[in-house]
Amino acid sequence: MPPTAPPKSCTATITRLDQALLFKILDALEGTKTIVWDRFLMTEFNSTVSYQLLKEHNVVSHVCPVINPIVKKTDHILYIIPPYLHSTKELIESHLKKIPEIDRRKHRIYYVPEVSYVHREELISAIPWIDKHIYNLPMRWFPTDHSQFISMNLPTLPPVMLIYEDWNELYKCAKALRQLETQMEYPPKIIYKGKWSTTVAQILEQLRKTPSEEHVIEAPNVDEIIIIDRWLDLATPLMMQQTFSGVADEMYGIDIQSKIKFETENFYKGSKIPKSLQEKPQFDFYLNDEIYPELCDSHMMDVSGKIQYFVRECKEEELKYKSVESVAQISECVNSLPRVIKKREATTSYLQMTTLFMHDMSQAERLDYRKCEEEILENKFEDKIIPYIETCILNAEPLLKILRLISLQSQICNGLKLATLQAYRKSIVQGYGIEVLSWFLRLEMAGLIRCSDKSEKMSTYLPVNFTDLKKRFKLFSTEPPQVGDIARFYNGYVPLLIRILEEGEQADFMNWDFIEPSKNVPLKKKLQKDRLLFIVGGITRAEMGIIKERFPDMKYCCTTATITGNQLIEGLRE
Amino acid sequence: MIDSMLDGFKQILSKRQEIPPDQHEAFDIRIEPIQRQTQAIINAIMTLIDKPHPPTSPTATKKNSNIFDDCFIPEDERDEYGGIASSASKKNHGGGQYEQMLVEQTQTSAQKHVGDLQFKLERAKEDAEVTKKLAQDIEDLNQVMEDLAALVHSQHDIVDSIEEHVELAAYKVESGNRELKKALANKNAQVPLAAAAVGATAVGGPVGFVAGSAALGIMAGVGGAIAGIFGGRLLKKQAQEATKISTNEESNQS
Repeated sequence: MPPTAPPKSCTATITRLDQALLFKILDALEGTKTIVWDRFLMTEFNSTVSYQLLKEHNVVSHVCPVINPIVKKTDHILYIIPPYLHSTKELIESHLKKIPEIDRRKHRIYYVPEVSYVHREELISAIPWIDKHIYNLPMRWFPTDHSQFISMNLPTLPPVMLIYEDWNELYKCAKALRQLETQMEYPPKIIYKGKWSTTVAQILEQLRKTPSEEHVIEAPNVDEIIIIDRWLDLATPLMMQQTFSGVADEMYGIDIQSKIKFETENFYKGSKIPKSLQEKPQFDFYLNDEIYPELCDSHMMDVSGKIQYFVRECKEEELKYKSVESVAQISECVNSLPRVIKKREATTSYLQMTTLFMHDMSQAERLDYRKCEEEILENKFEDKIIPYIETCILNAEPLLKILRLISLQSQICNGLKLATLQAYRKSIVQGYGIEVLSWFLRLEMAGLIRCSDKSEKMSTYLPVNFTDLKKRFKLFSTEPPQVGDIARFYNGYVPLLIRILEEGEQADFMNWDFIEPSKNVPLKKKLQKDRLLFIVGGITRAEMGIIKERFPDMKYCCTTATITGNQLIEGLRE
Repeated sequence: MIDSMLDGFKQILSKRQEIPPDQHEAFDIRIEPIQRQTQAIINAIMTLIDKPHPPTSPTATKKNSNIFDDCFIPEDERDEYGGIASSASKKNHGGGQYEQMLVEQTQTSAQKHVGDLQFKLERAKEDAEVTKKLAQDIEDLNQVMEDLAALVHSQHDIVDSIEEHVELAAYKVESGNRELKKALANKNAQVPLAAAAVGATAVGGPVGFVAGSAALGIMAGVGGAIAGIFGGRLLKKQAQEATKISTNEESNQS
């Protein structure tokens, strides 16, 4: 279900682009269509096109996953799959081998975003006639729950880059940026900072020399593309987010369709479960109402105040209904009723959600975790062993949270002492088994767990000196942050990534590396430049909120994925 | 009719001259109720003849409790007998003037009634306008009700998720297959029994007849039934295999 985005917003542009790309393919084929979906792609596409919209374009049947049989007879069958070998093999075994001679012209395979040589060869070697039926479907960007942000939904980039050093992921990023700038009138200047960003910028420069991507829609122009690495600031995603959307993502997870899955009983604890949900053990809550944008970037402590405001608004509207006198007024009220009902329902749900989050946050184990995190941020234990972490290991508590705290500690203190690192590693192996050692080592390789000793240096990405940067950028505010202060998003801490961007903006990004566009760009003297921000490696929802607040001139905010600390660590597990 | 009534009444009044003056008072007392009733009747007849009441006036139905109310003079103008409260009847008992006064009175009340009716007409016009507005309002309300109904209908969220449709289709296919299997199982269950019956009659009968012994015939019949059961089972199995292959082929067909 596509989220409702305000017109001219970044997500609205991307929804338009994705829909244009897909409908162009669908409308080119006359007759009814069946789509055979890869499960992930189906969910991803559902964030821009709905079932009803596809139906309008003559898609009468959907099959998912690829291994399921096709039930309905239609004029065309479209297979939409990702460029993974197992997907290709599944497709061959489940469908392509069974296609009769006379039926071949009906079948088309679309790789999202594009087919590679390996997959094409694999397909042709198994089914020779399929060669002419393989196409690309270059849908690279998808909307997020924040109207200013779009994502590539590519959370695998950091592990792939850091463990396997596969630059193909950066090529995907450059291609995606190229697709965006092709929709604009002229190519913008590329400004970049960081190892990955440099590579992306260079590939993008090369791509500008080759035949361009398809121009599908008229998108708003930008003057500069700012590319920055996530790995320049590794500490921020490891801290617990404090904004409403951040907390929701940390605790329950917001998926690529901007929805949260809740346990019905847990959600409606102590209150009446609505009739429609009484038989469902779980339900999806879509964050696409008019209230969410107002709440998403609020600090958890400010959420109840905002909800109170919405409750008051609803009550005022109800009172207005009671005082209607003429039929015309009644008619007007009835017309506005759906919006009011939805608003009231949404307010009730958010109130319920806030209660649930606050309840979860006040659990003893979470409070202990939060206390330990605060002590790490104060650098109380420096690079020594933290007793709380040791106790957690002894109690066999979830390893994910232990690894997150160890990673955070090693980032804040610029790397753990060798003895501390070895002690942690030893206790974890003893407590959780030898199989978790590979996970620990991967985290070391990724630079999330750092050691100050050079003998233990495993990361290929040069780490930042957090202690120096902390003083230089004044990352921690001495006074408690007030409402509206960007330090409030992380309880008194301003993310390093934001400070780096702020410093760059103050100097108009003159001290960053850049690539001027080769084409002559019409010079326009502007007081303020329109910019596109691209964060390679992912961004947290709390940071998204700060960027929205602090950099309103960023017309497009793009990222490879929306992440949390847990997702970052979990992504390096295998 | 009115004239004849007035003539009759005048004749009664002329008799007043003929009786002695001391009995005039007693005559008047007796005549007065007759006089009032006559006037009331005349009033009613005048109303019916001169200005018939608008048949469908909403005002009339609203104001009057029954359709004959207009036949009578307003309550405040009536005297205790229901006739016109005549000043002449109270003050002047003179015979010559009495007739004239009665005619005048009747004419004035008729004029007054015409005025009343004009007023009623205006009221009726106003009421018609109000009714028209009311009809419009009812139409609007009807629209509102329709909107509300649509609203209630739209409360049930339209399933717009592709996933839900996929799941639904998969579930339907699965349950359809289950039903088909059930149907096939029921159909095939009777095959061994039928085969046994056929086996028993086909083998037992002729064997018994040829051998000329009932015992041998029965034994051959039992043997035929057992062979029939096994044969039937084999047939059932074959049928099941055949249907299994055909359903698989159908489902895999693309």
